Amino acid sequence: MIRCLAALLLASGTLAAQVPEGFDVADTPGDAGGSVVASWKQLPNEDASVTYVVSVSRSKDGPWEEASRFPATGGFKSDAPKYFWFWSSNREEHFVEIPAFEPGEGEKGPIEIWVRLEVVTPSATAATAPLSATPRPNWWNWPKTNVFVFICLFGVATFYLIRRARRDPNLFIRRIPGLDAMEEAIGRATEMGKPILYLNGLDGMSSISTIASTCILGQVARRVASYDTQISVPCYDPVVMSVCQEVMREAFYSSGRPDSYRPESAFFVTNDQFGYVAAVDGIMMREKPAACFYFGFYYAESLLLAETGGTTGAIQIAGTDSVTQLPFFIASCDYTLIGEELYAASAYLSREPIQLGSLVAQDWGKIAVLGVLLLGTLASLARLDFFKHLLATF
Amino acid sequence: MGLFFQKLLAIDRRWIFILLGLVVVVPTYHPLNLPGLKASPNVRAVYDTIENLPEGSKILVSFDYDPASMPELAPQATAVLTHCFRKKHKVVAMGLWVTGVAMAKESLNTTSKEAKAVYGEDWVYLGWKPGSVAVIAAMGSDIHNCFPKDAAGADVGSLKLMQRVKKLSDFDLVVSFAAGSPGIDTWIAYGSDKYKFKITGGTTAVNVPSMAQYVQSGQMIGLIGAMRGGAEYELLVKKPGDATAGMDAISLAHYLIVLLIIIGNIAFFISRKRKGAAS
Amino acid sequence: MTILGAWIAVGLTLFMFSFLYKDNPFYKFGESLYVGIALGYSLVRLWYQTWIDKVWEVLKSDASGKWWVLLPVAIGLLLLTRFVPKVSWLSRWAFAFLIGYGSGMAIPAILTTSIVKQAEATAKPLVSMPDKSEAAKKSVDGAKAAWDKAKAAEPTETDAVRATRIRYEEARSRTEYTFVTAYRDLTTLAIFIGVFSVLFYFFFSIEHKGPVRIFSRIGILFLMIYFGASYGNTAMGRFSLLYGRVLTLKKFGGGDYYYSTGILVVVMIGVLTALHFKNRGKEERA
Repeated sequence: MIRCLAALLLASGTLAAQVPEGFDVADTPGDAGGSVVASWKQLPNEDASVTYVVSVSRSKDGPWEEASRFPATGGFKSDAPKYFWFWSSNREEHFVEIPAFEPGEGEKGPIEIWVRLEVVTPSATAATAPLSATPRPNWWNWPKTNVFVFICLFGVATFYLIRRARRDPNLFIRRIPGLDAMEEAIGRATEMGKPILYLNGLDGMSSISTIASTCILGQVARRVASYDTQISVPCYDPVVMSVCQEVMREAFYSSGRPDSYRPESAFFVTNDQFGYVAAVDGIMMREKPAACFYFGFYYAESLLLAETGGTTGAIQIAGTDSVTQLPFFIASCDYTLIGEELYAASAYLSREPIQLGSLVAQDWGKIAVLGVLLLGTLASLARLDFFKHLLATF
Repeated sequence: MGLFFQKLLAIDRRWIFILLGLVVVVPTYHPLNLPGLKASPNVRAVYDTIENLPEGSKILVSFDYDPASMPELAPQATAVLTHCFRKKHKVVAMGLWVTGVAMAKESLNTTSKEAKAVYGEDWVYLGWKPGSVAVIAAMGSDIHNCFPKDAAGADVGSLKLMQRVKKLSDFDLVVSFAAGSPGIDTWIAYGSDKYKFKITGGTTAVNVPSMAQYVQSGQMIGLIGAMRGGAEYELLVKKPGDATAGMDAISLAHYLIVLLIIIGNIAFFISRKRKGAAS
Repeated sequence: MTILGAWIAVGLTLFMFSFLYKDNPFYKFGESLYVGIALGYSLVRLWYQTWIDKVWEVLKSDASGKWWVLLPVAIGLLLLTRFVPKVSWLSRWAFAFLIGYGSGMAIPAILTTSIVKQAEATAKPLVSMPDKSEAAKKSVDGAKAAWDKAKAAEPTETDAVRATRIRYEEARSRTEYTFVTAYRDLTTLAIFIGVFSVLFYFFFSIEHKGPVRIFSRIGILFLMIYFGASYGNTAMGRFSLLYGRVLTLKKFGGGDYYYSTGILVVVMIGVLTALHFKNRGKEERA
């Protein structure tokens, strides 16, 4: 009768506390050596009345200190895909992450951690034999593998396309609409006998948009040299001014008009934001340029510049990757190169292999992202989570 | 009529400045108490997050703005700090912008005094360090090494609250009030994605569209946007402040601009039609 | 000191606002002062909190153990060689370090945050499937109970009651196909089309013809909607800043601060008027 009672109670899972199978302690995978992981299979028929208590110690014989205590309804490996991925079997195994011990007086890390698991039920407690592991920093951060793969693929594509652009500078780049307007604006300025005003933005030479702007300036300067138009390039940064002077000198020389080049066309104004704006506004009001080009990175002064240019009747063409200023340029300028179109315009005009190759590589990257998005959406519609797991970031 | 609209298009902009000045100044001196302010889902999400944290939770507040953004972000910061102190949460404050230091001190001193919060136990102000990304990375592993002293020069290890906080993942929530970069996007990219802490915050109106993507993707919980967001949070904590008081002026300014845009567009199309008919 | 500070704050605010009329000496003074103070403040902060805290104090306490803090100092000093043409090539080492460190920190982080995570969030099912699991049902029941409790406590729909109602409707939308579910699906579809079409617009190595052209035109539409929202938000931000300044003028314009606002406004109008007539006289004489 007692045996029957015991069997009944065993079957209900509320009497005996069993030791779970597969208890293991190991260094946490893919981390900087800050913890170890204890894992074990779930007990048959476990429920909220079963509590797991994980204790730690610096030696096999103790003293033991409680590290974690939780009911059997939680703490599954499926809650930590960062370490264990999304395998379905993770729902059947528990785990606990145990932080590394701080080295004490005279101790040198990393310190071996002994772990013991106790299973506590309302009527009994069972404990596993202690196991140990030493937290060590790992060379490979597994959770970041998908990002690494993407960087490698994109990097390889970029290098390949730069090489291809070096062999064939005629890589196809579509014509940006604003570029036609630039030609028209330069022609208009020549006919009217008025100068062109060219601004490089308010960032230094380390900014990609300033680099793109100086490349475009080179092309504009070539046209200006052939048409014998005047150009004015007020600069915010002294280094940018030097670069602009060099770029323009090169452009005038290569157009066969070295005599027309005037170094004072590119001049430093001030590196104070609103001081620069005030000075450029003054230049616009006095010289009344026929065309104003705003290429580069702009801040809050964008509308001040564009509005003043608008009042003089000039054609205004802007190009910036400053997302917050684009709306103002779009509202007040005749043409605007939006974001990446600025880099594309620079690559289109200069046909420089690094710029061309990078631009096409970015297109490939965009196609890859679109492909992943499309596949991910279709997969999630079909309730296939595999794709979503591949994109998971931790 | 057509001539009237043509003249309207050529109006001296200083008349518009005067009109705008009037609609902002008059309600400031004579509040209208316009009705209709309700908490939006994003602001409520921030409120609920702080409200539902257990008492005594550790919250990192980052003051990432300058005096230019004070009217929008200071009321948000004050309302959130009031909420935190009211819920007896522990606040550790710092900043990624050097120009935010004075405003951070003002918000913290005011709200902690009202809540009778004790420095060192209930709140700590670490100050500013240069480097933004490097600061976040350093805090991710050891805050005491990154900020060995607090803003007043006291040893951080000696502060009771800081003995419970060693690294970023020790915080239950990070709140960033950011006027740009470095700001919320920096905290997310180099902080929460790496060190796994919950993040929320407030930003200026200019940055709301670009921060919305992080709310949509779940990388941050809610967002307090602009002065309106600050007013909504003040409504939730039932402590009207500068943001609520500004809603009249902001609303009237918006109505004025919408009216001017409509009139401007009508004038533009009528003038164009007139020019077309004339040619 | 507070009264002096108030007068300075009001004065400088009004000086900057005077630019709305036209450029004038008050504005020029305020602008120069701002540039100088901002620079000075940053320099002092950098000196005390970077050099003194991170280098000087560290070396003073343990020069032999922590000598390595001089390495980043040396790299920083190399940057300054840019200004000496003969040795400016040395600055390239510092730039290489900065760019390498910056790229190493930035590229994986930005890629994770701005591309992979965003793609993960965007790759959602375009049509929601109701969740019929027990857990979902429990969640709906829990949310309904919370709403009922909130309604019973408040006679009218306050913010708190409304929040519980929204949570119940959200929970219900996951188990049944409701209006909220349909709205959510529409939003997901709009985001999906928006992302696709805008990315199509920014393809430069493909000619925009046929379907690509159609998609990119849709992309421009989404872009313009975004820019309109951004413009509106920026305008809202500027009004908030204006209100902040007006609030300061009101706060410091009272009797406690000796009517600083009123007095300074009158003085400035007087000076600007005098300058206007003086310049007009000069122009007439010229």
